[in-house]
Amino acid sequence: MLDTWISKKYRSPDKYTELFAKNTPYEHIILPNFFSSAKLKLVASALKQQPFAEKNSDLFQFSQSGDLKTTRNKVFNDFYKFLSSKEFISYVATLTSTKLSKKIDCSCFVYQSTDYLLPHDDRLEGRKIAYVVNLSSLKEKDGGSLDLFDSRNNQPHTIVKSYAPTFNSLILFRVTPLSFHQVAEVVADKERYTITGWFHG
Amino acid sequence: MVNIKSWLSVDYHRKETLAAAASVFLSNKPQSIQLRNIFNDQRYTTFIGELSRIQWKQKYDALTLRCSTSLLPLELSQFLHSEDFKLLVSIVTGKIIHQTTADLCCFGHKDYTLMNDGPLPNGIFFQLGFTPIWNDGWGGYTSFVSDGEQLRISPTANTLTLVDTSKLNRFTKYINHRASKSKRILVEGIFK
Repeated sequence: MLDTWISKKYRSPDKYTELFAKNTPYEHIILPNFFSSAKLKLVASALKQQPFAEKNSDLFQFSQSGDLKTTRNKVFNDFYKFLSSKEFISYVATLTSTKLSKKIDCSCFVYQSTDYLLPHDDRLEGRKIAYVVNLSSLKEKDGGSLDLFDSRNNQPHTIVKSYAPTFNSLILFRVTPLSFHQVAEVVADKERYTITGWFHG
Repeated sequence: MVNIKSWLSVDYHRKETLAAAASVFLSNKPQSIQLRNIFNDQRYTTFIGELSRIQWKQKYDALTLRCSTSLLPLELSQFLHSEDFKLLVSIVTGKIIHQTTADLCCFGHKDYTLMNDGPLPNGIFFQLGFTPIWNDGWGGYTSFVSDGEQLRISPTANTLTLVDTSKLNRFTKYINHRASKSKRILVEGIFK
């Protein structure tokens, strides 16, 4: 299954273990052109037919699909089966040196102009590794970047890494009390599509 | 000694106006009221002049808030802490007011406040608005929450809003880029 879904250069996860562990401000990695481009284009195309619900609170404003576990769409179903497969979970476990269970969360998100997600750490029981599959590309000036904060006194302090969404990049980071991050406001009339969730352990 | 009659619009000198306001406050859920044109034109114009000269200091604690604050202009501070003003708030809300805390805040693009972990302290929350032009689509409004939004205060000019905060939490919605350089200026605090 890995051979079908992942680009050839990424098939050995242990090559990236050190990079994941050494990245700052906390363990993370960005893997450009990670999936088979043809397959991910199908996912991106299916995404535009998904129903999304607007979510709005003090912390965020975006639209979200239901958990992809329950999707009836064949393209999503295949993608979900891959992400939750033993093979891929084992791949992520190796890359991140983390013991993972079979459980994953997986939803589609779309951020339109003025949408955002303010700083938080993602901690919730069982979440070990967060992942973001980027299904659209935005320029830096468009907003929508995933920003990582360093911390002082266990509080987020300064944005030290900022990743503009790039189609077919996979981002993984370890969920810890210090994994502070945000999604910057989208300031262009563009849409930021992702599939996002967590590997549990 | 501050004589607040020289500050307030003539309407609010009348007992009948305050009694009517008290009735509206009690009937609203949550208990709340917005008093429009609270200051007379002369005072309001003076405040706007003073506020335009203020040096703001940015406060940023990513998990809590991002906004600018400054010390209250002296006269405004005297007004808020005056016995006459406490009496006015007591008449409208039916609560005995002992003390006041007040902060002067300015919100622009990227600013926000998040909800606290628990509800606000019991008391009467107040907000004085000094923002003439605003669009709620820019964010920046104050939302009172308890199992969903119960009340929203949109940025306004020359208003006094009073809210009984029992069991409510509160946040200021993130201000998006469509606000451009517009600022929301307000004084807010709690009467206890």
